[in-house]
Amino acid sequence: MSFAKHLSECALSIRLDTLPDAALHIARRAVADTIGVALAGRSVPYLTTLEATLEITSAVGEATLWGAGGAKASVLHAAMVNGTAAHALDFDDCSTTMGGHPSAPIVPAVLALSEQLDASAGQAIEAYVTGVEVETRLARGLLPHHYEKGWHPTATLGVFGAAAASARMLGFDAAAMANTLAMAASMATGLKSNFGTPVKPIHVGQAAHNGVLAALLTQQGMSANPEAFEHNYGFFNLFNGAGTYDIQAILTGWDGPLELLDPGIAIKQHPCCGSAHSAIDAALALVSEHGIFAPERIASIATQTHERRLAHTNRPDPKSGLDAKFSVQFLTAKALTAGRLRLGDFADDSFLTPECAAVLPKITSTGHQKEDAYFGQVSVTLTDGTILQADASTRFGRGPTNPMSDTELKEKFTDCAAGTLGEQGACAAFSACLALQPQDSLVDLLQRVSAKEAC
Amino acid sequence: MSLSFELATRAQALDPEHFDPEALGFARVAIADMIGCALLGAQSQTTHSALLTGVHGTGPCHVLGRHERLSRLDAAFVNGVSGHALDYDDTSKSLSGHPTVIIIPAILPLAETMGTTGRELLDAYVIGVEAATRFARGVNFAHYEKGWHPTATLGIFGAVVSAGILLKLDTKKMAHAISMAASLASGIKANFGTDTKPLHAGLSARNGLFAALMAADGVNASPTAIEHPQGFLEVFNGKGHYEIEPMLTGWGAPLDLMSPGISIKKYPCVYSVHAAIDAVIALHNGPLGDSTQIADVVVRMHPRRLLPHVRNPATSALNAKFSLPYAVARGLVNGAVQLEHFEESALHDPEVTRVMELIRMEETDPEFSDYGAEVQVRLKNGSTVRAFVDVPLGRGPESPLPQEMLEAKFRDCASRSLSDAGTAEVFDMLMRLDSLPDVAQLTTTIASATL
Repeated sequence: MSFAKHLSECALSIRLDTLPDAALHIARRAVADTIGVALAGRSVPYLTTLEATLEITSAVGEATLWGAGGAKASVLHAAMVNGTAAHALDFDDCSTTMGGHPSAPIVPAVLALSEQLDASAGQAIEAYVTGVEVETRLARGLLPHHYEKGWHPTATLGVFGAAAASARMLGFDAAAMANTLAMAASMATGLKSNFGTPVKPIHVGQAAHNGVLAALLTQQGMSANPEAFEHNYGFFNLFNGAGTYDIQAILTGWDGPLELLDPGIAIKQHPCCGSAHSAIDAALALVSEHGIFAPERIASIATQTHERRLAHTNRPDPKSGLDAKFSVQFLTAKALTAGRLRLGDFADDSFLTPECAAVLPKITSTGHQKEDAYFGQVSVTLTDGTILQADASTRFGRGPTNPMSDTELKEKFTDCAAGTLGEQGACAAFSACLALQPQDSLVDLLQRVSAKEAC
Repeated sequence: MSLSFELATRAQALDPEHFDPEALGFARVAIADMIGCALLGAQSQTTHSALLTGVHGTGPCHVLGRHERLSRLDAAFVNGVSGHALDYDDTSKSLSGHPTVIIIPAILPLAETMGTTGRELLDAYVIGVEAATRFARGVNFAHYEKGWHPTATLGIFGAVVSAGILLKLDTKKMAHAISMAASLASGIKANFGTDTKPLHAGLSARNGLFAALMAADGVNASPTAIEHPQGFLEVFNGKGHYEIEPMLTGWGAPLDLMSPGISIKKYPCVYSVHAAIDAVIALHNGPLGDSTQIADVVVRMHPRRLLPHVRNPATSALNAKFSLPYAVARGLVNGAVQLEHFEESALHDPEVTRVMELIRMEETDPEFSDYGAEVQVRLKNGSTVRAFVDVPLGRGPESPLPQEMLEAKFRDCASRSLSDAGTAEVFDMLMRLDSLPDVAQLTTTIASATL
């Protein structure tokens, strides 16, 4: 049997009626988080360019452009625009297995198709879980080489997540899903050399778009080679190379726990560089125990993070909002003096609050070489000589071992969405998403996140 | 300076005022040929699928040979698919692929909506071919042999540069566009032999245009996207399998269109038998005439060209395309080898079958020209006639395609979508492309001739 067919049969073994409740809840949270970060991501200037380039008004469609004042587009355009927005701030969820972001390529594809097909929340959740399992299990057999070589797995593997999820939405059998995946192998692309530019989120929008496209073209009868993965000139040899991948690692274990649950996906809590999250969480632990720190009470602060992570976050005197997002000193100071970090904290003209300005000169940051590269520690010495210390180990956001509560997730969602949906609208949209039952329609949720009323 | 910037600088330094008129002539031929192929492919099931009726919307741009009108990106996509649907379009030796079917679909939607002149379209095409083939010199043939589909993975650099030229990008924006295109390149050879191969062409044309439009509006990419340790060269080719220097030298001196140039396929069958067909058509039109007097035929070719599937007689519409005996017999009987000859109903012509059975194939010694053929025909009266073709007509500048052969192929292809009068009018317009005041005249003429 061809690899694509085999993988498709595994993927089709995931069925809504046998999914554990925990998986349904994680899926609902992932949908909410992806939409939330996309609503915040719409603020980037190249979204307008993207919509103009695609000529989104040329195609009449049923798919909502999230946060775009009620605008609708074709499924392809919506997947591309929402997928790009979802990754624009690099604030979307993460998978260590994948070395990337599992939901951003899939959720936009699934929701666009669900509107087109008037599908239920249950169908969408089934397709979402299928997509995440396909992309992360591919990663099990392809990483770390795939990532280290320079591919951007969120795009190059995410396209298969989007393709499998789209195939599921369209009700494909294993042969049609295999054709979709094989065709997507010819659409996979995205180079890490373009990190740090708008091209990175565009990779993700493109992956969502291409996953939907491969499924729609398969539905139209276009053929691909079912052996497109294992062929001598196929995906494995070209994207990885002989001896650097393990097919069995991809195809086995489907009867075990879902990747979605173990090791699971991690939600990014703070809207800034992940390498500083351990220090932030240590600082927030101090705040939750001792309250917010007034600058005049602080004599000195010492932070410790891994030297590899400190290398790009050692910015004691940030000059811009973007700079501040990568400054472990600023982020620690902000956490200690405000007790939280919000998207709005990084505006160029206001990020440097008097409290932060007073605290920054008191901070010394050093690097460690511990085995746990995610370990971070913050020590605050008070003017009375008391030393308060906490540590944390936050790996690419908060996953099953250290989950964000629904309340914390709601705070993040509202922070992201209030700008487009309003505070109340954001709360209502979040609640609607987390309350979704399998038989529910998605129309109400998508109406809420369209920002039609906000306009 | 970054590699994308270096490439952009070279592309923009090419001065159309100094383009060799002969190169412009080759460009005109290639464009006409590609448009003919798209008019053929427009009626294929593959193109029908790519139209995604109900998903793609409507826009100002023409789909060649069809009545649908699409947005710029969607038109680039569909025209790219239809241009390559039958794999009958031109090839570039430097690219190891099909350059025109990526570049023209990418820029036609711009040209017809921006008031671009025919000469501007030609110039942008010439620069795009130069960009794609110079890039290819640095990565081939490792790139091709590894399993990438260069038509798509390298053709995209031609598409983005051509589109960038029409959009009049400054060097910086052009560099960003090239860098962005590097992250949109895709297409693997494992999907050859399926609809996904022409799909590669459509995607690549679309993505090249996409990158140029995004960069035009100020969206940036990494300046070092190509040469970075995790950039195009390392990731697609791998260490030791590329050279930067050949990518940066020799631009326009001479243009790749002049050397080694582009090959035009004249017959809708496997390329290895094209010289033999040239030879027998020359005999048919010359000393031989009527085929009924033929008693015996010997075709001599290089051993590399006489592979088993080429030696087989035709038994089906599919293997007829690879059958030397069938194609040579058709040439001897009809003096032409055309699309209709490969339809199921045409395979059992009694005279063609008689002649096909008289054909013998012999291997030459290895010094014989690579793609050449020698044909010897003995007549029933005992006399023999002979023809030798060193290089198939249309293979490149060393053996240019006679205009009547180009026109015959164009007519054969385009008449699948256009009226006869329209076919002639469009061909005439394509031959006068240099003086066309607005490319929209071309696409509207095609549209009004579309059946």
